Amino acid sequence: MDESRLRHAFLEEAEELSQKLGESLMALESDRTSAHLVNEVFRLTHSLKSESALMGFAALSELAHRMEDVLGLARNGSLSIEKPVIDSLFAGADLIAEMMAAIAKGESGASFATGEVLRGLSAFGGKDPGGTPTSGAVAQMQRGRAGTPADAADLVFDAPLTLGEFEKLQLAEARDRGEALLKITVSVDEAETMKFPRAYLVFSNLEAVSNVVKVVPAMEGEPVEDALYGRTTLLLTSSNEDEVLRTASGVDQIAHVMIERCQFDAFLASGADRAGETGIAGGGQSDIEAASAPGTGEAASAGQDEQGRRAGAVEKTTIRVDTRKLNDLWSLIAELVLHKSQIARLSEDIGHGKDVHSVREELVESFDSLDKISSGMQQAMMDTRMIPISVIFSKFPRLVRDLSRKLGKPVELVLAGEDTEIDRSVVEALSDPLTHIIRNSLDHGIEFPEERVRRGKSEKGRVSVTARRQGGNIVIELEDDGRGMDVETIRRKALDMGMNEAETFTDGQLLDLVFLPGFSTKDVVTDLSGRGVGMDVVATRVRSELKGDVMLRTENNRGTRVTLFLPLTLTIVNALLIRGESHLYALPLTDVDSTAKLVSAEIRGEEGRESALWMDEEIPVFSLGALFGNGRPKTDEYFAAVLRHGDRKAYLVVDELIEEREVVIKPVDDLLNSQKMFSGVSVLENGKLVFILDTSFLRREHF
Amino acid sequence: MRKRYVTFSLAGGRYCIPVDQVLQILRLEDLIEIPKPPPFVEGVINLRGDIIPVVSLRARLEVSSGERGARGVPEQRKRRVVIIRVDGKPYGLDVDEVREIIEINEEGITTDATTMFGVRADFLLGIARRDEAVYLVLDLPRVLGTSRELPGSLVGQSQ
Repeated sequence: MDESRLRHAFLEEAEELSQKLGESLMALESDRTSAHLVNEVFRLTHSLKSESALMGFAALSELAHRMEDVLGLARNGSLSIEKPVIDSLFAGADLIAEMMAAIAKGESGASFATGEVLRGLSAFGGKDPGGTPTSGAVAQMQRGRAGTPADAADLVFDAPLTLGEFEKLQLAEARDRGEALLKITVSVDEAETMKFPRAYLVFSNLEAVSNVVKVVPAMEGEPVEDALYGRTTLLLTSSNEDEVLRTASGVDQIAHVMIERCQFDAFLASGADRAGETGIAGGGQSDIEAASAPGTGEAASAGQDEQGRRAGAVEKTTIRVDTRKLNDLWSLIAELVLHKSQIARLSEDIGHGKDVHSVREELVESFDSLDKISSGMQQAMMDTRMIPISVIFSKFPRLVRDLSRKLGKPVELVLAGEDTEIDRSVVEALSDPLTHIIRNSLDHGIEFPEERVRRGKSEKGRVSVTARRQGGNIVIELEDDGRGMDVETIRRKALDMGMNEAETFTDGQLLDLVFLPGFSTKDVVTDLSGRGVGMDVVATRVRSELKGDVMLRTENNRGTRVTLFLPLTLTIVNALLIRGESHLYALPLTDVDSTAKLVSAEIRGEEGRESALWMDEEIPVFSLGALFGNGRPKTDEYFAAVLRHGDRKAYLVVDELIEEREVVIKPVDDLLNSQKMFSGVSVLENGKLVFILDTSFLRREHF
Repeated sequence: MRKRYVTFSLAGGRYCIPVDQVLQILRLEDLIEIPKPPPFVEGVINLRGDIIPVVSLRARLEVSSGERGARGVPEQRKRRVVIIRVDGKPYGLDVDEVREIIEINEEGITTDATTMFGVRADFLLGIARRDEAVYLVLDLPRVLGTSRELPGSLVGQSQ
């Protein structure tokens, strides 16, 4: 069995389990008597335990196991979920998350000190962490089963191998290929305390040399009681010798392997008449994995490509896509194929001397359809890149809970718009800034309960995080009802720092100062009694990396609102196409305020430091010629785009304003971007190259 | 260990690069100019949608045609772009003529006397000798400036 492939599958699976564990614990905390939630958490720890044991991550497995023990007790009613229990479970879940992160980086997780957390857990489970880690669990499971005779145990143990339509279809195909049908029964050594991992290993080894049609008990989906995997039956088809299969099953701790040859007819007989109808199976599932699931066939190719790459890159190499989105794409491809053949027919028609005019009309029609199809495919493909923002939002309840406890400030968190979809690449870069802003709200914004009451507010603070789509942007608002910031204090601070122009700044301009590096240092902010620690980092991330913008509004004693504007996607942007010095450039529309005619007489200042009036504001004048060529040509009148980047604005003089259009951004190599003026490059249909201008250059002091 | 190299000539000198870094060899056609390139970048080519920078090895290695007389003037007909992959990204090298593929014993590449050829020594992995001929083995990451050790000034004024 290929190690990297297994590891890859494990990380995918376990990271999801670990995240769900955190969420379920949150739910359990607010509803401590829910049997359903106890079961859910039990199941998650169980899966984590088995999977990590299989991969040989002993420390992780033991930790999960101990959590499972505690939940086992809760499940059979001998332990009630009090606060200390929840806290210990949270501590365990946190440690698991940390260990997972280490494992993803290629470490073993063994270096983590689990002792304290284990002791905390065993205080409820009645087991000594120094003792045999697993004996208790088995006893626990046996108790559980004895207590509930109607448990799945006996039902599944010798369940007959009943096959679904899809499995029958697989059998029929295997028979036509001339393969043999075999039933393999694997017994795990009685002494082995964790049977599922062993059975799973046999299963995945057999997958590699044969086609496993059915396994009882099932390997995928919810694992049943571990002990049931003591005897696992696999139905498979193979063209390999028995010896190959026996070798594959020969895993450590396997006591016995029995191979029986079976007749296809025995399995196909009943309902064979219907087997032919099941050409397409499984149309109903809501969510499929476009990438590898543990042990499935698709994993093979993906896994092999990944060989040699570090395990740390794992999470980015596969994605989950909603089936609906793939179906949309599929139906567009079907249309595409249809029109392709239509065009082939038209070209034949011409060859056969058909009237050129009528062919031409049909061609125009076909072209229109192809145009629609291709833009539809572009949209559908982009949709597969979109995921709901809830992947980030779901971390916030936990964050707020922990902070609010630590700080002693009761806080209510309100989330809205979690379904809003956002590009994957944006999501990754967005998590940190949002976390930071929320942290600031709780640290500096929300007052202590006494103070709130004194100010006539409710004792409990309130933080809300809202996402919504607005045109081509995603807008995220983070609002608190804390003490807010006093703009006059900011003005004083700015003046103290020698920023004389702050005297006449508007409120908006003053608040923008918070995003300046150096201004939002801790001293200043503590003085401001508002927030803003590290807001410059947030601003940089949002403005340069995400090509978005961030705005801050505040009202003294009423609260603060931070608003983030983000582009829907980073790969396709609406842009203004311009020409300068015989090259084409694109300006993302989010960075363009307007276009204007600029009369040369209105341009003031010496060359290189020119400026002109825009509305009531004096803003710098740049030109493409000066930035990339031989300087600005001398005429009386210029075309210009008014660029904006955060609070900065500037005229950009161009030779020609061409059009607004979508461009697909590709990364630009550093060799072509020595001045870091471009955020990407795009190729137009006619093969022309367009450089996408990164307007963050407006913030630079020098060029 | 024996390894295969693509050899090419440039301003009268002979050079080689490992064959496994070469993706393709093209005629120099449809070069697209770009704004404000570094002095050794001639432009880009659009290869099936990939935008590939084309590096003038003459300019980069500072082996101009003048120095080596008439032999150094490239014959347009033989001029090629060698598409290579360095650090996962494609680049094109504009060379005078692509000659052949040879096998070289890696141990036979010497690092002494690398300064003798009028090429910056840090652009070379070493010198390989084969059948009386001498080949300069290029250190591609350094030549392309993707190597971190390279002073920033050579990749243009990065901030």
